[in-house]
Amino acid sequence: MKRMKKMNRCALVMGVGGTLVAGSANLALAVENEFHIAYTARAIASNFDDGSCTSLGSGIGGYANGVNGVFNKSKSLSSLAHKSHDGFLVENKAAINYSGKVDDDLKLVAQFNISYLFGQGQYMEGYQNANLKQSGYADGGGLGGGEVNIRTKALYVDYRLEDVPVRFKVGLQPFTDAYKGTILSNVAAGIVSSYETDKFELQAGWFRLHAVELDYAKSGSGSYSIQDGKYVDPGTGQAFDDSWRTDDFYLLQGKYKATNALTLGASFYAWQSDWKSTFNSGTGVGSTSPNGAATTTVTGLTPLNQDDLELYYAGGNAEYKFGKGGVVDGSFVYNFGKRVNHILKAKQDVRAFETQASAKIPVGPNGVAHTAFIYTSGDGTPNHGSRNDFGGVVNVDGMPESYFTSPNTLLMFTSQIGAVSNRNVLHSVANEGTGITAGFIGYDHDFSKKLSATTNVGFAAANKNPFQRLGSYIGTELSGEVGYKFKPTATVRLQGGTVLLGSYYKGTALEGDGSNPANPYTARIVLSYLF
Amino acid sequence: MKKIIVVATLFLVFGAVLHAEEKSPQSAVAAEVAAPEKDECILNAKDCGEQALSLQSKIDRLKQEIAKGKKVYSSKELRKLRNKLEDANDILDELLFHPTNK
Repeated sequence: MKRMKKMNRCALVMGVGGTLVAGSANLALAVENEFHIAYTARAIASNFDDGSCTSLGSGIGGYANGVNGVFNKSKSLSSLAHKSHDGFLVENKAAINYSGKVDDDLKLVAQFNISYLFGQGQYMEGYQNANLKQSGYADGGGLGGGEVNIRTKALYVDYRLEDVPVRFKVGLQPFTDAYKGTILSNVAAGIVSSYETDKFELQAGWFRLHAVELDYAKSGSGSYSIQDGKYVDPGTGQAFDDSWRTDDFYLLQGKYKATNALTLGASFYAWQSDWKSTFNSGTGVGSTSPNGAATTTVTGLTPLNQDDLELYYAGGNAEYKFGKGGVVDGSFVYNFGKRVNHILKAKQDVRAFETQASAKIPVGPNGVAHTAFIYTSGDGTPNHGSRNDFGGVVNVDGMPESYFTSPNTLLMFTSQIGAVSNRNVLHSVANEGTGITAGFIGYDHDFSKKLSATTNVGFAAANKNPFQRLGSYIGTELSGEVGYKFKPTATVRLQGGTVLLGSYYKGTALEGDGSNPANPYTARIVLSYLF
Repeated sequence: MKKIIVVATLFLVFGAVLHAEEKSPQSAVAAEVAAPEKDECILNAKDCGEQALSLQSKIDRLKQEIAKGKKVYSSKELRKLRNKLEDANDILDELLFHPTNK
């Protein structure tokens, strides 16, 4: 009873905020409750960042899905306007992380994110039937607030065996592959076990990415009849395939610390999905040829389509540390297996690869120069022979679940520091099957403990040309940032960048009349508060 | 007019930042001289009083305690501290994990 009272008191004080380590010398086991919060706000002026999470992509007009943003930007890089539509938006997010434990071995972790774009939600639902609301991830900032905008981003139990360096994490947890997030990087529900000593680290795990029981309603048919105990489509007379559909990711990876400086790693991932095109129309990415020529729409090319596949990723990586903060690393991944092609109506063999290298070199006491390189194989004729385009995991909406943030670009790939929305020229290193060659070079400098600056230059080119583009050069990003840490827990950053689009986008503006899309630019003020 | 208001608002935000900067006390993370004794609050959640640590200062203090090594802590206690540091770094990774909310 006495102990219960103590625990209640712990529970009462834990709401104060920040980390609160509560306990008592009278208890053999102290209860530890911790709350930590990361808050990020971004004010953005741009002709490209529109509050959505879509890529520039390969579709007509440079992108096909830009209608979900705060600004309907479907014309912003188009031939109609010839000049971009500038916009200004503000977004913010608070990530609230709770961890609680009664003993040292067993811990519960939960994280909830609350986010919104200023002005999004509430009364916009029925506005001229335009359905202007976001899909939930950005609502709650409209007049009156009042949206349900909390999302679970982690919920797992973390268990360490006593006296053996074995650890289990069971539940929804973040995962990033050993290749800088180019294969899979997101939260997923699964079980990951790890064994770790000073020299070795071994990890095995399984994630269930999607699961549903298919029935007639989900097949898109409005009616059914029952024959021989099976649901049958009255239109076609065919039985619905009412089985479980699953989408799983398996991992086995290890690291060996050969010396204090050198770490070697190897990994094997398997992505197995029997999700069928019932959920994903499978029409694939379409694209018209530039200059308004006769439409040569490439249909059935399904680089983003994830249904019915078995893909494997076997890779090796190495990292070498030198001096004060210097790092060189490199990796190679071979991607193989089978996936469905909707034009051939058959499975194709996949044989593809990616390779990366990067370096961080200290320059003087306060500077770091960094460079990165990536090559992913592409396929110019995906409807013939084997598929040679490297592809990471995509979700059932067909969007990549890989995030390549390490080059620290603002527009080319996902920014390292963000809040809600995410708009990039390239959403993934696969670039919808073209494969890319990309290089980045940058320099970070600390002027004082509080003031720092970063400059970056990046380029990317497509390796293959399945969309019959006029050229292969995707573009050059020029970007920079000044950061000021005005408190130990808070930083404000000014960021600016542009991408000078290359020949890959020549003549691809909205109507296909031969005009070029405008170069995207962004200017952002970012406030981060973490405690 | 709209632009003037937006610009003025941004100036006020920066003013607030600078004001906070002037008023903020010296960084709490400033290196304390590591006393050669156990930190019971960090190790066993005992005698913490009303302390509330930010994640960054918790990580700093754990590193500080681990650096004291076997002179102060038993190997079991050191392992516990290392696990706590790993946990704190995990939380940091989770908080900053995804730059988007999708």
